[in-house]
Amino acid sequence: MDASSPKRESCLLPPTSAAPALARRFVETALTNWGVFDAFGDVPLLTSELVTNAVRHAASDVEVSIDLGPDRVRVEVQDLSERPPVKGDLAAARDGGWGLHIVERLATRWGLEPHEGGKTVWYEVALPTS
Amino acid sequence: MSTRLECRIESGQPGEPRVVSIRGEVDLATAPELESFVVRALEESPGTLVLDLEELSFIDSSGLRVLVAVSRDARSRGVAIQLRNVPRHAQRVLDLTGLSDWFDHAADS
Repeated sequence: MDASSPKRESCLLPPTSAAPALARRFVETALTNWGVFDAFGDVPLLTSELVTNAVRHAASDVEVSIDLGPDRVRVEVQDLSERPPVKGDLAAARDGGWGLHIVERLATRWGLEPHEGGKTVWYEVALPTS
Repeated sequence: MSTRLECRIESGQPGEPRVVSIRGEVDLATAPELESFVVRALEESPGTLVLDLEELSFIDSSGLRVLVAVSRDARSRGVAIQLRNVPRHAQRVLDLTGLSDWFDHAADS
């Protein structure tokens, strides 16, 4: 692939229980096409977690974008709910919160950007240096 | 994508625990299927029920939630749930969430 070609893909998923699996296939395909699937093995799991949160708490379509930079991959999950994702209490073994703990532990950086009528939750994973 | 998860129960030798083999992906879509299968198996399994995860190809927090729920359910019925042949990807997710010690592990087969 031409190194200068933009490496960004997006897809829009309806808010159904199938969305996490569709999102995993989407990011796996993009990473495979870009030849970096093996370097970013956690991306399907992390994407699954964010899309699961979006589907559980928002009734809108969910937009998933993946962007490959020189030293990292960035995934954004956008929905039309202003309610922020909730990080549960690990010790209390509550449901619903483990997803963000996994993201926090495995992503290099992650964050939440509220915007009018919705929010974007994003994470980045650095390219392993070896 | 309803065929992404397959659960099957193996009735072991008399006196040995029953084993539920879980194959495929456990996520938001398939977690309810796993939960109802394991709960049915619990009803027929006095003593110990083993969940064999050897062919589990993916699990995320939706799947963890089910594992925790069924293991609570099992305890309330006096049944012990044990995990067996936990793949590396699943062990990692259990470790990351601090749930690893929550489950009993059966010797891998």
